[in-house]
Amino acid sequence: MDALTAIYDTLSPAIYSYSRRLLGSASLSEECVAETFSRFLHTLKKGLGPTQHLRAYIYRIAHNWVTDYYRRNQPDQPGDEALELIEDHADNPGSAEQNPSKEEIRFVLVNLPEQQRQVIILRYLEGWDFGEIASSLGKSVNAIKVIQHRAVRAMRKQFSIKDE
Amino acid sequence: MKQQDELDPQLQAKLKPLLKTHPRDAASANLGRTRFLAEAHGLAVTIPGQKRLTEWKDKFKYLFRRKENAPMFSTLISAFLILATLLGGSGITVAAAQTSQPGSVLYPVKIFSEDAYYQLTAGDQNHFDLAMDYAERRMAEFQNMLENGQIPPEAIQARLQTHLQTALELSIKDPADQERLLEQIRQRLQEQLQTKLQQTIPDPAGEALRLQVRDMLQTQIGWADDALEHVTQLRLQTQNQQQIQTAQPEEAQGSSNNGSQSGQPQVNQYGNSELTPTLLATATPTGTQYQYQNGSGNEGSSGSGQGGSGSGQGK
Repeated sequence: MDALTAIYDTLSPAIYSYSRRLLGSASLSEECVAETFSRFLHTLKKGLGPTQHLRAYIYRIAHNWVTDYYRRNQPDQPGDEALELIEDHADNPGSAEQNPSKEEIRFVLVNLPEQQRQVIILRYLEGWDFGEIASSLGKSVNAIKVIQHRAVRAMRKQFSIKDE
Repeated sequence: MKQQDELDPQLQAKLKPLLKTHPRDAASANLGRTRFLAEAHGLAVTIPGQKRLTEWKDKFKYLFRRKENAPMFSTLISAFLILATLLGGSGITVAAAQTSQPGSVLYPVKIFSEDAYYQLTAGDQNHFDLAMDYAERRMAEFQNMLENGQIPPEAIQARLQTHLQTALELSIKDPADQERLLEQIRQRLQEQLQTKLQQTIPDPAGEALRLQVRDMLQTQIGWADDALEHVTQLRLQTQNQQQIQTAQPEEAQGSSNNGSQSGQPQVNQYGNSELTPTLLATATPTGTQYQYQNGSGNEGSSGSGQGGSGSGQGK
């Protein structure tokens, strides 16, 4: 039980931040955290679960939950995003035209292919290195680099970033 | 940071809004933690004592679990292990049973293995050898029990008699080997009689059994002697017949063609150029021998009654 408590205390803040970035809602993020760790417990009860790369395993559960959520619901639900938009404009006045809103960014991310989305989130938002991502997705480092390259090209196109 | 160098700076700038961290509500975080720990407590099941004791069975079953990636391999391994266990285990048991004596737990295994080996063995000669070996085993068991003051069960005596009877039947099956095999039976039984069952048993019941088996062996030896005598006569009859057959063509050269036909009545009588052992063995030895030994009588005795048919069927 102590081990489970330690796992939760260590990883739940990171899972909350991860889901908050993708979902934009505090309540949904709490729900994602609760469901992620609940699934983890049930997996352990079945005698399954990871023998290594625990963090990657927990992130994967959370990512699947978020993906399922976006499959069930369109991403334009307001929630507490309105408050965040106000905060964003307060932080960066006059930058609304240059920088996309969080909702726009999430829309682009959600519409990426599954693996590309995962690589971009883990690399650009969570700060993982290629080795960790490769272990998490069960692929080689070179494969992850290729996926990242395609994802970056697709996102640059979506954000209308011109090649230098 | 190294990985930051690998990131696309323009895209990184676009994603920057999502990097902003939002403080987590402490109350919600605590509530989530409490729920998680409660669920963990609820799912945590103490393994009962009985389960701990029988958990090894689950691990054993896991060894024979068929895997998706190699189901045939798993099946073959399972079949091999089961067969190796059964055959290896039964092989050890049978080997251990070979020295068992009547009355012991493994003695039925010994008898069963003997019968099975006999059934699996091919060839009359091999069957004959086995029957004689088994008869000697029964004799040894019988002797050991009597010497140890035990009364041998009736089944041993019955099996001994069966083995000897089988050997006798097999010995006369092949005419070419009859004499040799019968002589072998007679010699081996006489050796058994001379080396075993000589000492008087104090126990009247044991003594009665000893005498009974001795009588039985002597009877078997007598049968073997009788059969040997018949076989000897049969051999002599065959030799005489061959001599007659070779002598008759010479006589026929000095007489008419009818003479050569009337010289083969015996061939026509049995429908074969060689007399069958069974027929000769049932014939009166002296009478048959007399007919063949008497060259003129041969023609007279068989020629009168059988010459007509012989002349009619000769050609």
